[in-house]
Amino acid sequence: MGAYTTRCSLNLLVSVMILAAPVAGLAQSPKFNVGTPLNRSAAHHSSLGLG
Amino acid sequence: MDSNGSGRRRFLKHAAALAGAAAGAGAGAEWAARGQSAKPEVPAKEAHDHRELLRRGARFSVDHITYYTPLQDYAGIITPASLHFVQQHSSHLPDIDAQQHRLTIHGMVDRPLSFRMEDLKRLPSVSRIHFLECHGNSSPMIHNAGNQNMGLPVQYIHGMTSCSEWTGVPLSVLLNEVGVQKEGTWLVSEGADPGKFSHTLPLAKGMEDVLVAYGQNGEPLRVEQGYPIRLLVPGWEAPFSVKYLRHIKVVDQPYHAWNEAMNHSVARPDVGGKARWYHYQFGPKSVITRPSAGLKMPGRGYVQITGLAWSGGGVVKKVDVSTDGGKTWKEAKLQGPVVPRAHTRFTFDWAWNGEEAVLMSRCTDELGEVQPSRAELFKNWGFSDEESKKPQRSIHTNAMQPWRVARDGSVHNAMFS
Repeated sequence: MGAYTTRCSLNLLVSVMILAAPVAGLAQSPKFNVGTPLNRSAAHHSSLGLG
Repeated sequence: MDSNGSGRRRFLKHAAALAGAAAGAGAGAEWAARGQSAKPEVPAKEAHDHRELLRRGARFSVDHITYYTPLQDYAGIITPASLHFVQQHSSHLPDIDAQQHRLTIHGMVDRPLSFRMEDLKRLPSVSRIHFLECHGNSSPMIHNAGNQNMGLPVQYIHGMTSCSEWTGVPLSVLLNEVGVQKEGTWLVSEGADPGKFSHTLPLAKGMEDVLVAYGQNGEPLRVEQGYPIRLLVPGWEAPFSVKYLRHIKVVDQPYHAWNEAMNHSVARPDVGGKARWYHYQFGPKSVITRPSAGLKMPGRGYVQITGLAWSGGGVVKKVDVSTDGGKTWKEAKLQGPVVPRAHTRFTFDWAWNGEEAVLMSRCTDELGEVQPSRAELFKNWGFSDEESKKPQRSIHTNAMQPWRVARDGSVHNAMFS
């Protein structure tokens, strides 16, 4: 137990990145089929700020 | 770019809208203003008085609108929506038509999708109580103590945190609908505000407990809170919780958006004078809200000390209170509900003997982490003892806050004296 600071952020970053990989692998089929499909070009151009 | 005149009119319009909301202009007017009934109403006349804004504490600049929560004035743990802090990265608030608003999720996904508000509201929803905190909260150098519009010190120093019951769709539900590809490990979120505020979020957190929120304390999000939808990233610094959420792009690396890489970076000696780009969850933190600087003791004898504690690491396990500047500590009582990543109200029974006293609180969270003193915190960041005794621009500041009670009953900020 000790004083907590945000110095742990780097450790957390590494942990999160390690955890992130298997999560992405869990992609599943849509369950609710809600939302309007976009083609990739439309999605890209609708998001100018993100590129 | 707007002329000064039109910019000023727009500013006044939004300031009046905020004041009208805060003064309780009526739920009908609020909903109407959001395009949820047929005809918008005229803001209340009193809105121009700015009385409620004065109570909140406010600061305006060319690229920021800031409102501070009057922590000293409310009870329990839920911040009224009208008093929730605001840190807006633009000179005016966006005017978004919810009927036309869309959330698109694209990038490294199998099925890029666009969601209307009615799509989001038909999906499974949850309601959870969580705090939000600006990463610049509790940093004396970020605030202008000479501005008479700022309120009491506990408000303008620590008032960029608030706690609400948020309602929305788990982001994991939406990510499952679009099908994240195995290469996707990060999310970049972008708002529909004038500055297109953007922020990067690790996918793992997005799948864990993040909400796409459309409700706050039982009502639709207020304009200043991101109407019609915002991200709500529990326990992490508030810039992750992108307001006016319009796009989420799944990517394979962090984006260094301007606000992450430039605006929100502070150099620290422990990383060689460089800045940290990515800060995540807040450490354990607490502050005594009453008595606090600017208030007056009611007299000798019994007084209940009360305040708020919170941690991005989960549940507040205990809060200790000292009335002698940290020489001795006693455990405070925690008022329910005590829930993860939410404000927790604590109280401490005290009999003031009329002598000078220094009040402090210290939070311990469920991870066993303990709120540091300012000296401990700045030592960890690589600052010298001398430097830690001076106000510094800092972020993620979770140091203990001392308040000095003088013999005449006045209460003062004892952080630097």
